[in-house]
Amino acid sequence: MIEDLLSAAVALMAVENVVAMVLGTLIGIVIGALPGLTTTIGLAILIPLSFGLSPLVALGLMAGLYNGSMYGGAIPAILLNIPGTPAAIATTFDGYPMTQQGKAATALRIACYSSAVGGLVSAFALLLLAPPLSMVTLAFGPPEYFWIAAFGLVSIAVLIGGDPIKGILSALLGLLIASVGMDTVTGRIRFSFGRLELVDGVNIVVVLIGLFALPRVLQMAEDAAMTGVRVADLKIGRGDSTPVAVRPLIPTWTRSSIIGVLVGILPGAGGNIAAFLSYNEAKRSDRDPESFGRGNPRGVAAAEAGNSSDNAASLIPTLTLGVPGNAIAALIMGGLLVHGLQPGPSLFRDNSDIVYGFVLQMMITSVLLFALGGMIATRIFAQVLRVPQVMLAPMIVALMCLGLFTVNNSQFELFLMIGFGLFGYVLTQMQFPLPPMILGVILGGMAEQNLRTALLISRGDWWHLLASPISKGIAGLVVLVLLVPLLRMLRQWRATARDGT
Amino acid sequence: MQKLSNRDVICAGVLVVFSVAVWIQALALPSRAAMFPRLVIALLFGFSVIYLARSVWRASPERPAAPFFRNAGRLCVALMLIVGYVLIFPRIGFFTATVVFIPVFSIAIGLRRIVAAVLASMVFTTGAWIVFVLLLGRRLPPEKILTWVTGTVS
Repeated sequence: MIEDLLSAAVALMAVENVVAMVLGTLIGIVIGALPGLTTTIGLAILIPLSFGLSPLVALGLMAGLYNGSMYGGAIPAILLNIPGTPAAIATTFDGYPMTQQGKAATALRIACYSSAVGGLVSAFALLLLAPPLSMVTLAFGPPEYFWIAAFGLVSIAVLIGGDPIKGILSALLGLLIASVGMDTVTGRIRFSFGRLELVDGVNIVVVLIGLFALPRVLQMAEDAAMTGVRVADLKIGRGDSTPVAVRPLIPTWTRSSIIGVLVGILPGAGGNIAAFLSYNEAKRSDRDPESFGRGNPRGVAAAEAGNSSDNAASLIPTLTLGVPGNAIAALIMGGLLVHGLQPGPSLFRDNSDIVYGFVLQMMITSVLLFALGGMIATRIFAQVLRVPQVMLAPMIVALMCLGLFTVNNSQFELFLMIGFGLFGYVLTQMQFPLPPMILGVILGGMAEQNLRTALLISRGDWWHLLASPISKGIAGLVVLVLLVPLLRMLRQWRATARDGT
Repeated sequence: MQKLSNRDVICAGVLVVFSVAVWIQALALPSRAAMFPRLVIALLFGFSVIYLARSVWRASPERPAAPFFRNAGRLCVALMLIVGYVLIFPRIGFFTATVVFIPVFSIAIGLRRIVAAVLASMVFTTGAWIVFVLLLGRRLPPEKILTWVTGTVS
């Protein structure tokens, strides 16, 4: 591992890799700072744009964008009480009151340091936990992998969003999209409707951009926000140059980082949950809990360290098992696949230089926040908020089309992207969660291939899927996750009955 | 738990019909190639029926608080412009199509600062062209205008 890390570190010193990390972090901060644009939209646009770059350069951009956007979301949260990303909601609780007290600069600096610390701790957790876990998964066979895929799908479908049925339907639609194209065993073409472009299946990039970026563009067009934010609203105090007292924040950072890492590893949870849990824990354990919500710097530190320490940790199941735990991890997995890297245990064995390089990039881009997320940069990034969304929307469309078209030079894929965009728009309006669908598209191949191989080995005996103790364990987890909504319903019925009496 | 409306009944109905249609499509496939898709379609049908039953049972007769389209007119205009852009950009070239598309889109959905839109479009398109063509060496569709003017493929 040390050798792999060293060789990855040497590779990262190449100029193009350094530029990619710096650029990715800057783009991430800008995307995070723009309300309405999220990390998922940023990654969905970036993935086709990174096509043709070397994998390390592309992953450097993604790592920077991921870490940068988590911090960027804090800028409008602190200055305007508008969270730039869902993960920054908890930052508004104390960040905006600090701005109202003329301490915006201090709040922004605390957010920046906290994001950097959280990101760094998370990347260390990824480095320490992923390699041993990947060694364990080397013992897995087709039945275990089938159950792993099923567990990933079921947990995201059931735990994300408010309605498990809609989550499961979304995942099943994703699995159906994944079965389009040539069947690798029999060579039969499935559901291609005579289109040659679909023989190899649906390009994952088309689905990613269509589902995550286009619906947001259409909503921006509907809202038609003509103006950006007024300069006068961006209250960054000029005289507020007091250095941040770091020592009192260390216990908060420690607690929040641990919470964030644990939440990150869990499937279905995300940065917003990590931020809320960290904020609540900081408030609960503080000597003066009443000061939270009134501009307590520890509130900003807890929220930002919490949401950023979820970042790299959420990639642990993605890189080791090939099962992303949330939408961002699913997009990064899509990015890895586009660059010919198959997440899972073989990733650490066959592409150790790249995967360790990516882990180091997650660390370096966290540290870069100290340099790039400072006051001068924050003032510049805050100006990005002034861009009217009606101008931003066509620019996003142009970038999407440009990125996608230059991958395969296919106009058909552009129309397919519009189709998925419309589909995504309708599903969003119907409150269907989209991450399970992406996960279905990504994990469909893995689930089908391993199910068929397991059945082939056992000559059609379905019980073979539950032959090993590991399979039984993971299948048990699947059942347990499926029971969650039933338990919720039971609790609701009991509550309703209690209220009725 | 989300509040269900008559929209959910329609959506669930569409999903039931869709799963039946895809099942019929899958009948044409040999059994080995169709095994996994059929499993997925069967589950899709089952959960769609549950969704439909639940929607019929719990659907509120009141109109949902949030309208389905926030502004149907602007949505249609935006969609038509995006389709138009996708149609013409591979034919006339990225630069020409994008320089026109950005201000037309912004103005069509209500922006009144025409000069700002045109300037922003020029800056953005030039930047994107420099990054893609000069820095990344990507091949973009030839610019038709340049081809007409110079007689050579750009």
